[in-house]
Amino acid sequence: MKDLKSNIIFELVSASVVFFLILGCQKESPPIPAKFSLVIPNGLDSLLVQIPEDNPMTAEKIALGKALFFDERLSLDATVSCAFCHNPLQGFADGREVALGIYGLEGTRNTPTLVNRLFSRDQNWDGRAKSLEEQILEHIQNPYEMRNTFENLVNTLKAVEHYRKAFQIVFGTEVTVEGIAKAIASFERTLLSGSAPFDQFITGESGAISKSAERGFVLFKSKRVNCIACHSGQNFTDEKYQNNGAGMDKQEPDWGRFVYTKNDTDKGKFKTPTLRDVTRTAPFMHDGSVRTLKDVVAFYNEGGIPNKYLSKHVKPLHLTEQEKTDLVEFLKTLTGRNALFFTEQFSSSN
Amino acid sequence: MFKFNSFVWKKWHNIFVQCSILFLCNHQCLFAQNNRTISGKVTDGKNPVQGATVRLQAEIICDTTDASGFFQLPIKEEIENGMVTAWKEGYYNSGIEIGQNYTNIELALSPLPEDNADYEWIDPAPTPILKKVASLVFGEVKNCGDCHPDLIYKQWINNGHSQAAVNPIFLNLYNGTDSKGNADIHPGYKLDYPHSAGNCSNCHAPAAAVRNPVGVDMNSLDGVEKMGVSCDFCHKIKDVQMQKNTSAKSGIDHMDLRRPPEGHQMFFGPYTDVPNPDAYSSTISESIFCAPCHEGGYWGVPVYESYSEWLASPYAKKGVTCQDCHMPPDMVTTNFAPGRGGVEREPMTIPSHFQLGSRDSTFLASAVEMQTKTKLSNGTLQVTVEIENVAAGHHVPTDQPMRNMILVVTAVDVDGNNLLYTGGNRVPYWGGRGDPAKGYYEGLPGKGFAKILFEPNPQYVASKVGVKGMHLSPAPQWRVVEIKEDNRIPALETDVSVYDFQTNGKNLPIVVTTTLIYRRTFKNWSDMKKWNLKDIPLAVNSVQVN
Repeated sequence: MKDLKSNIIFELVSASVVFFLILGCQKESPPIPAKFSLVIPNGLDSLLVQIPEDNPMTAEKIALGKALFFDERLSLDATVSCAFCHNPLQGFADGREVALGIYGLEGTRNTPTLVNRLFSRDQNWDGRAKSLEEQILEHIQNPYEMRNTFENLVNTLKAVEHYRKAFQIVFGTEVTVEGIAKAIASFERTLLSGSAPFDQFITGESGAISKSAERGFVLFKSKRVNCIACHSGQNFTDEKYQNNGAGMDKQEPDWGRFVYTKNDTDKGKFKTPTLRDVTRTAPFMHDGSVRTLKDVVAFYNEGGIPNKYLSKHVKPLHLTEQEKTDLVEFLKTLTGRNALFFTEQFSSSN
Repeated sequence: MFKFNSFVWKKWHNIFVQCSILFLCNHQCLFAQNNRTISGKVTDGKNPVQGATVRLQAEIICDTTDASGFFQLPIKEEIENGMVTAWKEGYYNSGIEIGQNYTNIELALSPLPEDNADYEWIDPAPTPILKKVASLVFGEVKNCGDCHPDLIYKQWINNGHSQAAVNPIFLNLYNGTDSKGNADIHPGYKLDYPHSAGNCSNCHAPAAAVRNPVGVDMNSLDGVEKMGVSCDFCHKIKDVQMQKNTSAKSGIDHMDLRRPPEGHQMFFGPYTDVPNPDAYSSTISESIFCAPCHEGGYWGVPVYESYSEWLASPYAKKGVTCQDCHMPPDMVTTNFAPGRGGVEREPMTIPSHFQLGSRDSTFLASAVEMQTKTKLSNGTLQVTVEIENVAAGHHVPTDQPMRNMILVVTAVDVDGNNLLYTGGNRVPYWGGRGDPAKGYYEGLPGKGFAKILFEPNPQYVASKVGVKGMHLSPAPQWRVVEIKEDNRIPALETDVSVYDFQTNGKNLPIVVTTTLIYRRTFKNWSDMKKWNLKDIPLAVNSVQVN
């Protein structure tokens, strides 16, 4: 644990040190791209990373992305930063049912966590953004979130000296919208959750998780309960879309992926979210309608909310009280040790 | 300096409310039969105008034109130097001097201008002498205070609206400074949102906000824009539309302004009989006129609710408006522009521009009445305090949530010792922790009245501004807050609270004192900001128990 923590700290700290060193450099000395190697925490598979070819990760770019991530100037009236909804101290989510944006306008969906975006390609609950970069650009313009225009954004950031310098160093250009998206995306790809008690358990460290959690894991992957049908793999998601019925009992339900694809089979489908750090991202479901992990288990135990398009994987489970507790205990073991690290890292960086 | 006399207000209030319908909503006509008449026609320059209100200036009697634009006004006696005026929705007021001829008088109405964003606001303050001299050469300067110097301007310059953009308390909260000029003192909007100008200017400096919505830094103001809610701004508001979800909009966003093109002028007022460049507006006498800035919130949370409190109160049903109580006629003014085209009017028809509020202790104190009752039985002294909101058409306290009211109850026996308190009601933490003699009342027998905002998730603040500003409670309204409690007293309702003290039945007489004070801000805020704000006493009862 200590190794991982110090590793990441070292990487990020060195990234920002290099960044500021470069900012302090004389004009004549050409910027040297700092070598950057991403540390993949225990339990995550480095073969599965998704980094676009046109946006390689560099230390300077990540440092720039971090600065942008916390900068409210991304929004029209300079009150909403990325971190406003994706708050590092709240599991890179916001603890609200649905997102709150500029002027206090409410969105329609729950803020998803940012951890382990390194392993996913399509973004948003409905997968409409084909990359993190695309997702970032959309939300900057979203009238319920940041409400900004590209023109205004670029002009605002151009007026800030350290951004002008940083863009020259990172991209060799003026401030550009594409650069903003690439930098933020690169920063977000460093937000990784692994090395959870579960990862220690699965690599053979006995006693890493409780007996109850062990029983929960057995249930989790059992044919009978079969959570793993969708929450599969190292990141506990198949990156596919399912209708579990959440919100389908509303008068005007959110049709999810259908809104984007217009395929009837996509009605009410939302992306399977990662279960990494799941204890930190309540409330749950795309509409935040389920408050606690206990409620989530109860929700699936009931067989979701019946509707015409309900996934075949979602059916009444007839769990006993002990089984429900075991599943919750298991889910709790998926919270990475780096959650603590994030908390320290970001609460000290004003 | 005008001091408002609550006695006058109480005496005249009912009469005024009844009469205001007669005088101020003066497009409704009162027609008396009489043999002698003045008659004529109202046109828009070419065609007859139907439905225009025509009256003799400063008189009650009026008429509404028919399809041919014809009107007829009864008169009692010969008129010298009188004026006939006309108005219709969408037009300026129009007026014409009555000469020898009492018939075939023709009044032409001209339409209101479109809004002109390049309009230059008029300075409220009277023109300085030097400028006046210069104006002899360079052309006349006309500021508001030039024509309405003694009453209206002086009333306005001494009220909160004129100070809205420069009030040091407001600026301390905006910049995160204290009264001594120290920086980095929470709460501060700019500490939490360092790159945002905020929408404060939407109400505090509306003349600036209209040129740059949500982009005006309150420290960057100059000239008329610094004059806050100025004369010219309010009198340029044609209409107000309040939407249900007020969180995304505030102040100027709700207003339909009419700033005239260069070379023209335009003022809205409550009179149909003040000719061009004035135009009648019914909105200016209605409560909704005040709503854009006295109703609204941040992040979807209702912060300022005076208007909706009023809407839900019996006053709204009775038709008693904000202006009725906050702009009562001073009962002295008979001419609001003497020697400058003003005419003599009933004092009752001239609203003052006191715009009384939390700055005026007498006015505040007139809003509530307190009664203290005591009962001594079985060694227990029970004190019952009833506080009634007798005169405010909204909750007390209202508007900015940092306004609060504190009730302190003391019971002292014949030896001067405080009785042992066994009841539950105590002054909450925001009454201030410390020496009661210095105004720190937390924990004393009593009660606090306020709307308390708190931050359910202060983590975001922590990640941005550090823990220093994080645990501020009550929280400032610009953060993402929730309403923790709201025990303010609605209009005409009574708060009853009970305080039990232990007594051995001897040591009589006991003196019970109940003190109700008003604070413009929470004690912990004013300490952090080093504001020297005095407690405003609203009511004191002293009861002797034998």
